[in-house]
Amino acid sequence: MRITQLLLARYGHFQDTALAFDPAISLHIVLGANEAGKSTALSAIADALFGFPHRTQFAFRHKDLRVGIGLQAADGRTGTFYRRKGMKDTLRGLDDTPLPESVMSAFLAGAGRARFEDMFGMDRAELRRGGTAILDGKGEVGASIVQAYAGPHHPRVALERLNDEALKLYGDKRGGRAFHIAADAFRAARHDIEERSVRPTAHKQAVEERDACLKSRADTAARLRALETERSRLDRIRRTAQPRAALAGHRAARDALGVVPDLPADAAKRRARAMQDREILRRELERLQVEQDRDQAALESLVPDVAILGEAGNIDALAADLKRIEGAQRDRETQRQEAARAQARMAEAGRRLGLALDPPTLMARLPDDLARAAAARAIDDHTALVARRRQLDSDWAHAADSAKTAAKALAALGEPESEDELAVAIDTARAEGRIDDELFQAEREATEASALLARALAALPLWQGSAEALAAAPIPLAAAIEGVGAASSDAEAALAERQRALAEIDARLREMELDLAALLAAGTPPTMAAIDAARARRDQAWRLIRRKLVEGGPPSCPEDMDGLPEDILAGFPGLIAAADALADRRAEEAERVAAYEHLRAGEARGLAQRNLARADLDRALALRQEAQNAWDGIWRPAGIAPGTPPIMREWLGRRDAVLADLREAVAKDAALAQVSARHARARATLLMRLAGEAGASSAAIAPLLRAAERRRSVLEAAWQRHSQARRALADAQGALDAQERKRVALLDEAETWRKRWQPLTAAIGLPENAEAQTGADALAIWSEIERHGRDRHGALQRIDQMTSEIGLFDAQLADCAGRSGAVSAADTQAGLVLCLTDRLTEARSIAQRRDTLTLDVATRAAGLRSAAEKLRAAEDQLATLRALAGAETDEALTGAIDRAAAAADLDRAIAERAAELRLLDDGMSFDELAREAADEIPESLPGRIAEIDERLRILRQANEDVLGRLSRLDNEIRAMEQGQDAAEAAQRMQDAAASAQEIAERYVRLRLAHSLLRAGIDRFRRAQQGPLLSGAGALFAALTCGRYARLATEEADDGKVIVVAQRPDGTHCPADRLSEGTRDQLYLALRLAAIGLHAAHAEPLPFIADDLLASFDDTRAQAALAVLEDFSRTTQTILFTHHAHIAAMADSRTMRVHRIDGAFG
Amino acid sequence: MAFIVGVVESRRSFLFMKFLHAADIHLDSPMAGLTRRSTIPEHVIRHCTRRAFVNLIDLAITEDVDFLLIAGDLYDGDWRDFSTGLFFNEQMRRLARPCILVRGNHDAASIISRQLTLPANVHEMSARKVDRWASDELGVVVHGRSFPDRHIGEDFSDAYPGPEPGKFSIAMLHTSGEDPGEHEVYAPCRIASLAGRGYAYWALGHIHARAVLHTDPHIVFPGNIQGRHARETGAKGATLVETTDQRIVRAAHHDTDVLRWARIEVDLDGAETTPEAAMRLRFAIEAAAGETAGRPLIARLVLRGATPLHAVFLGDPQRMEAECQDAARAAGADFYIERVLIETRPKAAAGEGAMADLAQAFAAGLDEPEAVQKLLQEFARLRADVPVVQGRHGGAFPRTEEDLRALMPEAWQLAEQLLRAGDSG
Repeated sequence: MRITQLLLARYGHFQDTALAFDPAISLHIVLGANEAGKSTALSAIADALFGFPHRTQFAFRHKDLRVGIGLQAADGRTGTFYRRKGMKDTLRGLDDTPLPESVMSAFLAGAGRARFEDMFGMDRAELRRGGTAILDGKGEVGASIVQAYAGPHHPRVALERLNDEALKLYGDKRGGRAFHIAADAFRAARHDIEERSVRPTAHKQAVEERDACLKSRADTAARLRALETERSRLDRIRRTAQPRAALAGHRAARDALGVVPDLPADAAKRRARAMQDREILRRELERLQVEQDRDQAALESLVPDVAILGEAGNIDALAADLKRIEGAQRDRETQRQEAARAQARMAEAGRRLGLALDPPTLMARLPDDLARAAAARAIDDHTALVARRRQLDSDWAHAADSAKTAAKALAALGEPESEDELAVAIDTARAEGRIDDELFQAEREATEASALLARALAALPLWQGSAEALAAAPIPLAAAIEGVGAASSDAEAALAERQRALAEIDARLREMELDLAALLAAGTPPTMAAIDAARARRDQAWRLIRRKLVEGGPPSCPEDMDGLPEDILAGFPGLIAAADALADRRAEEAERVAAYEHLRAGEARGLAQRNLARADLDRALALRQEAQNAWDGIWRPAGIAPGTPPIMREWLGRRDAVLADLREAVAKDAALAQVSARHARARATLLMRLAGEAGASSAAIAPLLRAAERRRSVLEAAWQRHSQARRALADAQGALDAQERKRVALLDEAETWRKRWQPLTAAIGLPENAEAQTGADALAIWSEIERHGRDRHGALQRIDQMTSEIGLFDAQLADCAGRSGAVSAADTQAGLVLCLTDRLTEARSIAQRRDTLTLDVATRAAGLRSAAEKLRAAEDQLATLRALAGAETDEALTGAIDRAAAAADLDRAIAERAAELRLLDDGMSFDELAREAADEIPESLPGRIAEIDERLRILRQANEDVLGRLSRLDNEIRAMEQGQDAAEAAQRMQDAAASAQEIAERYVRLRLAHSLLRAGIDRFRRAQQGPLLSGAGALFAALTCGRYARLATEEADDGKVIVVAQRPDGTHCPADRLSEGTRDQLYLALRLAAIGLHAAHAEPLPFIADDLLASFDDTRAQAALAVLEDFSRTTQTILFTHHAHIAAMADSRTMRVHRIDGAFG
Repeated sequence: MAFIVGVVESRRSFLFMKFLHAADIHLDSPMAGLTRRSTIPEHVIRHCTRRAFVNLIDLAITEDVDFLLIAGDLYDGDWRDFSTGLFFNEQMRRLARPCILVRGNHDAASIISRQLTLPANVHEMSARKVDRWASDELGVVVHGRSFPDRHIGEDFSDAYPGPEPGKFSIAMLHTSGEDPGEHEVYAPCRIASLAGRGYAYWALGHIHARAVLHTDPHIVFPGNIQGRHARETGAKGATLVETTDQRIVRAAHHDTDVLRWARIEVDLDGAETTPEAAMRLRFAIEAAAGETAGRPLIARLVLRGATPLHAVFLGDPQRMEAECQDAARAAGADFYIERVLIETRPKAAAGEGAMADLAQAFAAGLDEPEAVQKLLQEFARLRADVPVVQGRHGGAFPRTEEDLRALMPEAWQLAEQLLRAGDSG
């Protein structure tokens, strides 16, 4: 197949770009700008031939991609098609009518897009990758052949990777393969489960042991309690013996003292303290009075200097202020010089304003702050006004131009029609998706499902009703079917067995009858029974003869004569002879007799067996009938007369299939109804909005949608254009109006400013028509005058202040000296001040000594009063105690106090002993303790207690042991109850098993892929090696200008078969040792040869080469062009290049160069 | 106190009763299907069934139920750690109210069941005949029968004696019902038959998905209390039943599970690039992550659809799994991936294009009996090495030539992907 033309109507950067490829020309070379390569051309050709993919990189400029292509088949058929991007009907004829894909397929000879792209396209990058792949594959033949057909793939790398990954997963146990790690983890976890699992017997044993320990502990505890009680009793008797005796003694002594006066407990202390206080106080009073008299005399001897003390504050202030006054006298001269400098500067500034005035006058003419601030603001406002005026002029001119342009554009457009209702209808219909297809599909599926159901139902035996009734029929449970069916089958099998057994018995009997008949045909066999019968007849005859002849008995009755001759006497020898003859014959016919008897015995057994078999058969028939009834019974609710269980099992399967078909049919019907309703709604909605529109009567939604979309696009575009123009005009007009308003406002502001400025000029000493800049300069000079005036004024004020302070100090010093009566020879301020301060210091010292003496006298007078009061209190205390004791004198008081103290001591001792006893008596009273101790011998108590202690020690040790065991058992049982987390090990085991399984599944796939790929490459090599290398060798020789004569194969050291290039002299070079450029040539030769072989059994597609020769030198490129030209005679070849020198090499007789302007990549 | 007494008295006078129905506890059984590569922290899955069982007992105590029913499969049959039974006893002591249980197919032969002495408040139904437990105070009678051994093929319910006059009658039954689903068939029965037996409530067990098969009378599978593998998705728990005057007024499911399982199907149909696939993946995961009800969620991701990335996934499944794990981490701290199943299919038919000839040669490898036998022998050895849990092989390994042919397209995809990857991979 050849391409005769390619039209890039809307594709990538292209629009309506056409290329015509004359079939009469062998090789077509397309010369264009860089980046114009295979990616665009090959894709465009592939898209035209096979359709656009869902996503394409060439839709950046045109959304509705469209490519045209002209084709000519080998048999002369031609066709021209368009291909557009879309979901269906993408192949179009010249009149844009949809064409089936089969029309295009007729030119493609079964090739798909992948084959076209892999085999029939090659660019420079692939050529280089192919050469590298030959190197990577070490020139192996199989890999090279695969690459020739399928592109620069890496079979050897693929095989290695498959093998490597598989080996990492599974194999021998070396190298930590993933599978074995998982398997080891599985085994370890399984072992852990066993280790960690708690055994029931261990738990039971521990619990029983613990129960025994508990019982032992309870017994020990009871014995301990009894011993401890006895020990406690003996110990109590022993420890209370001493306090009990002491208490009894104290009680007796107290009783002997009798009644004593009720005195305070501290009466003795109070008496002693009162008597001691009385003596001390009397001595203290005397000492204080002597000291008081001495201090009073000293006080009266000191006289104070009242005059100088009255001026103390003034003298201190003058002394403190003296240094400050001396500093002020020095600073006053400095300030006088500063005032003179400020005055000179003010005079200079006044001259710049044209005012030759003295400083006070100049300061008087200084404009006030308000006036100067107002003037400064006015000047700033004027500057801003000027700047805004310039900007406004520019903006206004621009806005005016914009408004004119927008008005013209709007006028050019008419009033648009609204598209809202149409958009709603389209969205509603589109929301239904591919509803036409869905409806068609749903109808088809519903019909097919119904037909399928009908066929399946008709083919279902045992059922005449509908499928719905079949679904509702109460079919027995599978378990019941299995159970009852098995019973029925068993019964049927048992019956058949019985029938077979009976038939066998009958057959055997029939055989025996035939055998017997055969035996009897030769005469009755002389059996023992026959002999016995003959002998019995003989003996009977003898008994009758004897009875008749010897005993004279009655005649014989007919029964006795049975079997005997009438003339018994005559017949008797015959009977004897017959019996003997039979016995003789039995001896002679022993074999026949044995056979007869055997047959008769067998016949008898057979008859007995037949009777038994018939009974068995009857029972089997009954069981079969019972099972049949049960079988019929479970099917009866469903109204089905069942076949045998196997039949019914098959029937159930077919029933399930019918029910599945029924469910499918119901689902399809429901789906159809739903889709039909959606389709009708969508169609009605669209029709309402498309009245009068072409194509608006279609039954399908898609044409209506297309019509609606077309209409909406038109309306939407018009509406958008109009809206944009309207908005643009409104915006421009609004902007112009705003600028105009700003200009008017600015003029008003300028006038207002002028009116504000005129009065301000006079205020700052300027004429009325002064400009703003003049005003600004004047304001600066006035500020300077003001600053210097303020400096001068400050200096003068400071001088006045310091002069005043010095005068005031002198006056105060003179007054103070006069009031204090001080006379000094000093004539300086400092000398006078020093004289005053010395005198003041002396006066202050005398006053301080007087104050101290006065305070001591007053304090001592208070001490005298206090001591007298305490002496009276001590006397009162002694009087009170004597009254309480009923004593007249202090000596009587002492005796009473001693008796009361003795009684109190005894009472206290009694209480202490009682308290002591309470700590030891275990709650028992004194009398109870006495009774408890009455029967005990105190000397025996320590021995008995020691014995009990020993027994207690032994028991406690035993108890400790039991407690230890109990603790251990409790821990063991608790550990068992908590477990050792065997579940965690189980989880690990489960996880490891899952991992191993997952790894194994992956390994299976890898190994299968590796094995089949290796075999596949080998098979592929065997099939293609000969013809491919032969064809490629010729091409390679041409491409290398005869440097190499042909290609061959050779077995390498590692046993692999590799490609070698053979030189004309017979030497050769392995493919992987060829230079880079030669390997590229080899790869090209292999590919061209592969295409050539493909062409031998299928019509080839065109070969698209993109800049293949860019890296070839001119000689190689010339050779390659010749090879491609020759190759193109059988397989159309189109070479894209952006190298002009390649195009220049083209032979105009057999090659044609097409030029494309601009980038088309 | 007076209020409490009043409530108790009114409860008696109106014969108000509550009971909890659970089944298929499978105490201490492991979570299935997690591989060693799983990034699920141990604490998430540790003691799952125990914690769920504690939740069950908490629920019973909180709801102050009158008794608890466990309709079989308390333990796994081959589990031998006696501490599991001791744990159960401890929980029963905590429950401190009657618990009636039957043994199911799993715990019929459990060594724990045989050896464990149950607390006094636990009544295990006999395996020899239909047993009975009753409470005169509550006016309730429960019939049930334990499995004597694992394989029970007959319908046990036929032998149930029916309701007792004046009593609220409950029947406990471990059964596969009419539709066993993925479970094995044990003690099958007809639902219509159960409904006609006169019991007010059929407490069933064995099916792990909750199902109310019938109301009036109620026939209920409560499901298991904790999902244990990726097919047991959604909330798991027990059924709380409330009655008034011997009529059921409410039968509601209550969650007891401590983690959830989910199956998330990600449609990668038409996904052209790995980032696009990752984006769809994240959308799907984030949608599912919002439905965890505060529990950790373990998800099995199933990638579906025709995509050119199919071969990439097959060639490097761990890369896609890493993407999934990333998305899971982004979705939240409690979201984990159990496994990623790649069920995508190639955009074009396998081996189309220039590779078609090689693909044919690849497939022809299976026409060589010797090579096929060699592969099958190798895979048989591999299968023998794969650890077996509970007597079952989890995976499918090719055993026949047909199995190999079924796997062949997948193997070709692997090979083709590596061929096309060239030196880039």
